[in-house]
Amino acid sequence: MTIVDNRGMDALINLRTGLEELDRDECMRLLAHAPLGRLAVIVSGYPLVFPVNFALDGNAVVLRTDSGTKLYGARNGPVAFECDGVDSTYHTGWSVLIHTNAEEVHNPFEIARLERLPLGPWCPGPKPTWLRLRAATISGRRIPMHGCTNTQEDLQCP
Amino acid sequence: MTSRGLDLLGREECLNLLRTNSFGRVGMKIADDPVILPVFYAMVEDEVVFRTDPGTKLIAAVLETRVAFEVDDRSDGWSVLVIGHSHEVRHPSPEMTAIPPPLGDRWPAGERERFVRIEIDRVTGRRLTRVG
Repeated sequence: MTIVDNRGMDALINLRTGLEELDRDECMRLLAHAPLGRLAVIVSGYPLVFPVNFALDGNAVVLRTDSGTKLYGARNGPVAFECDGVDSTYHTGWSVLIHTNAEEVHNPFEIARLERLPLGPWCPGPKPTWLRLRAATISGRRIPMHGCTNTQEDLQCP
Repeated sequence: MTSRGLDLLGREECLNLLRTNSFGRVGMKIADDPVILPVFYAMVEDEVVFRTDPGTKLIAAVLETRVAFEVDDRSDGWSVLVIGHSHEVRHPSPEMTAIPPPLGDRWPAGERERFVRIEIDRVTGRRLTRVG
């Protein structure tokens, strides 16, 4: 269903969830400003979720990790990467979810370039391995802000 | 306990931190893929409880699958990870029905009326060690 928000832009509202579905450009814009992400991996058949710092390298998410559970999971199966933001004052929020397979960056010239990106670790300790997540699929949802959306039907009402 | 600049948090401290927050992320396995879905939650009798609609999160709960649940606070520098099993709550207690829906009173009537609880099998937490 298409609605028009107060910016005069078309927005797609999922009628089942009441949430606005975000397009790829809006997802990337939100990712670019998110301070922290979460990486989900499957280990021994079960999901695990870890907070991670990340940077964007073009349209790819890049992050650093040590040789622990995250890397093991990322090497052995698909991953999910999520960012979100909540504004409790306006009771709105958004989330962006990426599904992909993580690529390990081995090329030292690439690594030298990535090391110039503004990316600090979420937690201390050596993080020798770079992972690149090129989104195979990306989806985003937002809780519409109160009073900022009108359905086409509403707008057509006298 | 400290490990590489991180304090590893005990169960009680993790549960206390979970009680201080109301927004977290459920990690699930759908087919062979991991999925992360954000939820507003409350702690009820040491279990994570949230409202949902008849979608992915409810299906995972009906199947009583193993899930992960993560909450973090970047400004305070901590994160908590729950490993547990999700269950649908068929008869929610008044404490559960008091959990506000994500859209407050703007949520369409009859929606988000299903409740899911995560029975905690294991909870771990980390806090960045303050230096100096």
